[in-house]
Amino acid sequence: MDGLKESFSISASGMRAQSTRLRHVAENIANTDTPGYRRKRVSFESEFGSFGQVKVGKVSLDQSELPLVHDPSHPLADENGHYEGSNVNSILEIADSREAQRGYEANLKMFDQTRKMTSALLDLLRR
Amino acid sequence: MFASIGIFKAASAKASYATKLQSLTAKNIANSDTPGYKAVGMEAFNKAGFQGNAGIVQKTTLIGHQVRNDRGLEGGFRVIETGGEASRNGNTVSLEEEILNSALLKHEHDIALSAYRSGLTLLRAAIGRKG
Repeated sequence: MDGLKESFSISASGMRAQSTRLRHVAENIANTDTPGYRRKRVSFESEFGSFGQVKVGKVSLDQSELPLVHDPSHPLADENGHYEGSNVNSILEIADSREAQRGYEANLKMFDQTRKMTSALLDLLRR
Repeated sequence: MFASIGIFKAASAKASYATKLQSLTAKNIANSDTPGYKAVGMEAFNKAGFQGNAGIVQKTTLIGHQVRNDRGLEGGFRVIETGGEASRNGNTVSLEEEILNSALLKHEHDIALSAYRSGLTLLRAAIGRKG
């Protein structure tokens, strides 16, 4: 039964990590037009000393160049009419969100299967 | 007492194999986006050398023979690396492969439990109790 209890916490950690990832994707998308915003990136890592759980590592900011947007009427525009936009690429973020969803569903499926196996095992006692 | 009866021993070994494989599969799926992670699995059940009344027997390899990608024994079964080609971040997990494997092992688990249950039914009949 030990193996099955481990499976529950492993799958739960996977779901938690994917939903944190999705949260950061949502933050990036919401801030696509915020001047000076750098997109957030997270990387997963295996939790140290556990039996296979995953956790979200440190959040880092994408250091690629911020594009200059030309709009003289913007309050932050400099003398040439440019201001720094954000380096969020909507297509990339949508693709990332799809991956996060897929990962989440796969973990959920594993969780459900573990639950079914535990329940079948306990069923043996019932007859 | 049950451990000495063949059908219970075989069924519980198979069920135990399935649950350990389930936990490895869950680990692979949870780490499907972890950079550098290598997918793991176990050797086939019959290769592990289950032999009737003797229980789980490790098949002996030649002395000095190095089992490739051997990651150690887990409860009598050998854990091995089973990943395919690595993606750009070094991860070797294939989600489709893992989901397929989990469906197969669930099936094996169900078969093992059915065998166990029918053994119990026979035992009950033998001692004269119904159901």
